[in-house]
Amino acid sequence: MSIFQEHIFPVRHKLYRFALRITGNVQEAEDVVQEVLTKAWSTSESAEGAQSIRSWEAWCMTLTQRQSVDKLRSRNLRRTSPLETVPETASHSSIQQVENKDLVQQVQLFINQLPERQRLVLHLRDVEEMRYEEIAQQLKISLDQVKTYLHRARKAIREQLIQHHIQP
Amino acid sequence: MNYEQVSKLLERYWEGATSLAEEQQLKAYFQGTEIDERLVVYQPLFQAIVASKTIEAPKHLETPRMLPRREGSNGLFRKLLAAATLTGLVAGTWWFNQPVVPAVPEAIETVAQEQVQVLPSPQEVPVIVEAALPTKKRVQVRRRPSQVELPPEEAAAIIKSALALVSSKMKRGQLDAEKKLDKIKVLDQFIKYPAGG
Repeated sequence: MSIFQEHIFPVRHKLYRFALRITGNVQEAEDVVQEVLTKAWSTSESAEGAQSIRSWEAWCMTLTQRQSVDKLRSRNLRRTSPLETVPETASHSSIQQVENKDLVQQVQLFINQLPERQRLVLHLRDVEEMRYEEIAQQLKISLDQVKTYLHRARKAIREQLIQHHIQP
Repeated sequence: MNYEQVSKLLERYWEGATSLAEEQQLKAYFQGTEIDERLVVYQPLFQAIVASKTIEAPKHLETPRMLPRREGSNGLFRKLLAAATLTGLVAGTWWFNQPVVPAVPEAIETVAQEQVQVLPSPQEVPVIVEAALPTKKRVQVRRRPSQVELPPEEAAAIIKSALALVSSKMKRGQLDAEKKLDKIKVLDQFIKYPAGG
């Protein structure tokens, strides 16, 4: 089995979710994942790339983060609007299956309004269930920073939930 | 889990102090149906997290060009492609280098038919005519059965006239080229070329 099939292709959903969390835009997330998979495939086919990369998942996640941030920044340069994630993210079929869709959409909006680092730490921990060490390595921050960002993110979400008195 | 247990776990969750296993417990609790009314306010958060986990990349991202090609079929295809390309190049080169067969042999034959009633010895004529042809590609002159044997001198005279005809045709081509060159020279005088060109 090739490197691509064994290590890269299985994590495509994780990459897509990560890109979607950063960009908040379905089309941009798809573009990012397409670019990342294409680059990962060509790199894995080359002898140098296959030897130099230890963890393909981490490499792909880093590339996804970089590409997504670039997309986000270029979009923000074009039009100075915040993330427009909620309608597009919430329109995904899997989310539509959730019974109380509006509440979930509201929470997605809260998460997407968080500062970037807090948002990414929260996503990697709560959605992707990564360990603190893995998150620190992925985002190139210290372990203490991971815990701090996570604490701030969860606290902010809690305050939003209480403030808006969301009731199912 | 009862209210107190979940509350304590939640407090640690907000602080960022829970383990992955404890967070799994919270997700499972809020996915259930028996949620304490005092904790219902937090349910959408855990539902949103679980819903996010189910999001998958669209199918169209799994395009064939992403997947590695099968070994074997790829190599065979490339070899076949290389062989076909090489064959095409060789055939093209051979065709390109083929000389254009001039109309000279037909002229020779026509002259021979008009001027000569009876061809000389069939063993001699084709050899002489072929040697006189200007191109590599030789055209076999059809042999006709001879009824009268001609003396060698007369046969040589016939061949000489045929060759003279070929020569005149070639010379005419040369003269035509020279005439056209003269016209170009005349036109050249009226054309203004840019400085330095």
